[in-house]
Amino acid sequence: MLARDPFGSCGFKSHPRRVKKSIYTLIYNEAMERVLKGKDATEFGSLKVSLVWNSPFPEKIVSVAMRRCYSTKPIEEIDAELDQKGIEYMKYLLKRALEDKALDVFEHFRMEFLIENLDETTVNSVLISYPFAHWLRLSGLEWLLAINARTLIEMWRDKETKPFASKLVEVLKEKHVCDAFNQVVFNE
Amino acid sequence: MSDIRVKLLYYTPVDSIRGIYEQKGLPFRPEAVMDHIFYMFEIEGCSRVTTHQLVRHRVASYDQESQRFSAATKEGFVIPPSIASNKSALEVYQTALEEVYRAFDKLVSLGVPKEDARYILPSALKTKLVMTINARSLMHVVWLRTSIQAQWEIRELVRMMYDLAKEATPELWAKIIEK
Repeated sequence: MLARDPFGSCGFKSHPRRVKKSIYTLIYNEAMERVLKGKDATEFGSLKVSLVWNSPFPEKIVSVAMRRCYSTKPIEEIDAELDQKGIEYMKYLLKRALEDKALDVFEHFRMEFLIENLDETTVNSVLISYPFAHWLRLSGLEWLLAINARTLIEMWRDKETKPFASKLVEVLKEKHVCDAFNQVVFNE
Repeated sequence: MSDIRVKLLYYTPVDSIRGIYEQKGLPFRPEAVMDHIFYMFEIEGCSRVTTHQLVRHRVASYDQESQRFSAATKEGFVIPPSIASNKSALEVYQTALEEVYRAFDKLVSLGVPKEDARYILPSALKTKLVMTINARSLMHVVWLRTSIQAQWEIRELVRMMYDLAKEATPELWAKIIEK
């Protein structure tokens, strides 16, 4: 039986006893075990992932959200300050957010992927534990996936969903849309 | 008239999704992709009363100016029209707010951390936040918060958000909300 808290991805902490007894947990664990157990990156070999769209200037978007919490300045000044201090400062802010476990700021970085050759059972197993990833079936094994960077980070850190998340990260790295973000967050 | 300022920081162009449908030879329906179109707003100058109402819409991401670390009392406060238009009420309101601010400064000068002194601050205080929301949730916010039952301030705020979203992605809003 997997020990993972199914509510972990939503940021809620459940009482361990309640989670242990929850039917949701049992269903979740069973599905995850059945679908993902033993699945590694090679089993997603036929999976095709394309980046359809992403938030522009992702590192800046996340930095703006972070500075918004701690600054009284209007957005234009925060924007100018980030431009002036440059990408190294934004990388510092991203690192701080990760260290402080303040992943909420990453939610403002959104991505849209086209996923091909992915079966419904796998989609359902990811859906059940990551409710903030929005799936839209185009046809058969083709899907549109809208995901925020926080969910992607959580999926990537979760050993069960890491093989799938790694496919998305590969595409982000190939496309060079957020090199500093990739370096800070996914630099293994 | 309040001092609310809303800026659309980015949005998902509908064409980026439509392109995939065309590539696959599928009919495109804007209502099917509402969970996939995002808007990020920066909001300034509304009261904490309104942001309390706003964050009840949970399928969205928010980051709001912290009162623990920022100079919260320097932000100014919102005066509701019903008070602004009543001279006696305005006097009561302003006197109370000034007294609260004095007490806040006094507590801080007595060594009380800002994070504790802020318990005394009013909901009228102006705030700033960023918010990212998808079209489906924004539509729900618009339906609820622009109705005449909604309070004047959030109505004004959401109307601004709606105008910006509609300008950015007109095909989505024209086909759905104005049916």
